[in-house]
Amino acid sequence: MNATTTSDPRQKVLTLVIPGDLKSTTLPELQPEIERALSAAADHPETCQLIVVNLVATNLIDSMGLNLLARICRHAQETGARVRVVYANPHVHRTLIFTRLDRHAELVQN
Amino acid sequence: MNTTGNNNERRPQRVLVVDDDLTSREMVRLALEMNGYAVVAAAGVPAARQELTAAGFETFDCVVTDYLMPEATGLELLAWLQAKASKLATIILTGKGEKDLVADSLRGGAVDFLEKPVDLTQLRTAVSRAIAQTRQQRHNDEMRSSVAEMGRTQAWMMRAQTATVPVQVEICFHPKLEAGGDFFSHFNPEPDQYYCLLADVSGHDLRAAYWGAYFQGVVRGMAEGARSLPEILHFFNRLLVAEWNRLSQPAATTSVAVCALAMDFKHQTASVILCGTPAPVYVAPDGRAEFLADQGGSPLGWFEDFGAQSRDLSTAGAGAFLLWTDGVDDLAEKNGVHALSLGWALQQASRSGRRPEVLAAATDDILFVELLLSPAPRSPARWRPLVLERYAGGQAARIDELADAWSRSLELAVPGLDQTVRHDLLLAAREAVLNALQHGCRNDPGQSATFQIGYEPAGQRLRVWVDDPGPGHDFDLVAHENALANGLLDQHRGLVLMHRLSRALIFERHGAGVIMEFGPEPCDAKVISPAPPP
Repeated sequence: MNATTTSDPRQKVLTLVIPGDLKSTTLPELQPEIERALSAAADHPETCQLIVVNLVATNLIDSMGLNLLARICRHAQETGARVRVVYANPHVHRTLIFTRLDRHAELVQN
Repeated sequence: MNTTGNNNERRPQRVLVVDDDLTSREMVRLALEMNGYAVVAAAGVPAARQELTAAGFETFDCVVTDYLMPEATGLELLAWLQAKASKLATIILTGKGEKDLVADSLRGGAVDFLEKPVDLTQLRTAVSRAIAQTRQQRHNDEMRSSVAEMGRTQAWMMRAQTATVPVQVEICFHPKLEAGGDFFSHFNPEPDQYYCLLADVSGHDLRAAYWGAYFQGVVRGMAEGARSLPEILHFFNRLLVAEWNRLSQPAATTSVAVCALAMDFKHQTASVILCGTPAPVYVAPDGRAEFLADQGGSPLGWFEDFGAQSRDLSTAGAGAFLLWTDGVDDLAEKNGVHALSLGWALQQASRSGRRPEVLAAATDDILFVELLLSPAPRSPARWRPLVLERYAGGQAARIDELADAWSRSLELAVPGLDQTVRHDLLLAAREAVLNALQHGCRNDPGQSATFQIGYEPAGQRLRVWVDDPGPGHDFDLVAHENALANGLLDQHRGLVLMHRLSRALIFERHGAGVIMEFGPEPCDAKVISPAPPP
């Protein structure tokens, strides 16, 4: 299970699509592509003012998954970008709220 | 003379010949009598019905009837016989050109048909075959009836004993066939003592049921003679190994897996001996459960030394024991659930008088028993373990597989569970187990953590216990939560999840032991209002 990333320099948006659950056992496959995309965005911060994390296919996020989201939020803070997390499952929203990720990212229901 | 029945009740084989044509009727009668049959003749269907009713259907072995008769046809007689005595074989005689009747006759249940004028050789062959079929079908019916009665007796014997002991016993018994090789019995050898035996004879057929009854009888008799449980088990093992299994022809090994439990009410102690059954579980009054042995020991009948595992424990006169046979383990594995969840589901179904669907996949006898050590009526607020496992330190990579089994177990045992409560429990339990394996056990396969999900049905509450051998942690969780929210820290986010998702979180031994409680409603009290953007 690999993440899909798309960068739109004209709209200044980087989109990260997570194709399933975000958890300790899926992270090793998801993380390299996300790190690569963040690293590329860091090289040209002017082309990325918004990072969209698409969690529409995600039903469960565990602490390792939350750490990855925190890492994305930290990257955004450092580069002056905003983070928008798009979710569909209310349990995902619950997890993000309970662990206060909503303080660092805009949560949008799909 | 042709006879039927067993040696004590032999009688001539009787044939009822029905034909309105005197010549034809007498010819058939003579032909059959010359072959040793006792023949009763009837000149039409009404007379035949009267004869059968008066003498009894079971006194006849075959009916030979003409088709075309003035008052009613042979097919009408056949239909009446199918309703009244379907095992009594009937042969239809047809005239030339009535071949279309053949299909109707066979559809109606006739075993054969013959065309008139009747060939006497064919008649004798057909009657002989029909009588054999009647006898076989009647024999099968008797066997089915006997087996069903045996099963009813076996089930009754297990349940009937429950009223005579000072322990509340609930038995779920579902034999694969009408009767099975699993058995449970219990009794008081002394006023302050209680013995119970859960036994599983190899196989699940009537032979196994017979051995099960034999074993229980031997145990009961020896216990009445003041023999201890270890003595009794050693004796029966010797009986099987040195006598029955040595003498059996053809050579076949009968084995009996046993879980024997002896309780001493005066000293509030219990002693368990395990010979090849799944390990029983003791549930303390606070809901904590423990296996009373590792699965092991061999069934009686395999070896001279059967290597039983034994364990003594103090019960304080309270709590409950859960015992089951390997059929429960096999069925649980087939359904990808834990045996304790399956046991609870079986008990729930039994209490509501229905047969649980999950039994459809059973390939062995199913026996699950709960012993409640309380003279008072069942307390509604009792914790019941649904999952109880020990995970080795190197199993963190299997967490999805483990969590899937917890999820299926909850679905089976608590089907109406709120989906958000279920999500929260599974996620918090996942974090707790990963924490225990990775930090408490340091990923060392030589270390292990225990995991339990318990259910309290009256309050519809669920509780998770996780214990590891590590030192725990030493920090202020609430302060850490605030720091984590403000500073996007990576550490201990799993503990925050456990704290936030559960209704209550208790740390024991600095966090090396964790207790979390969930339900019946989602834990909305801990929802944090969306904070303004930083």
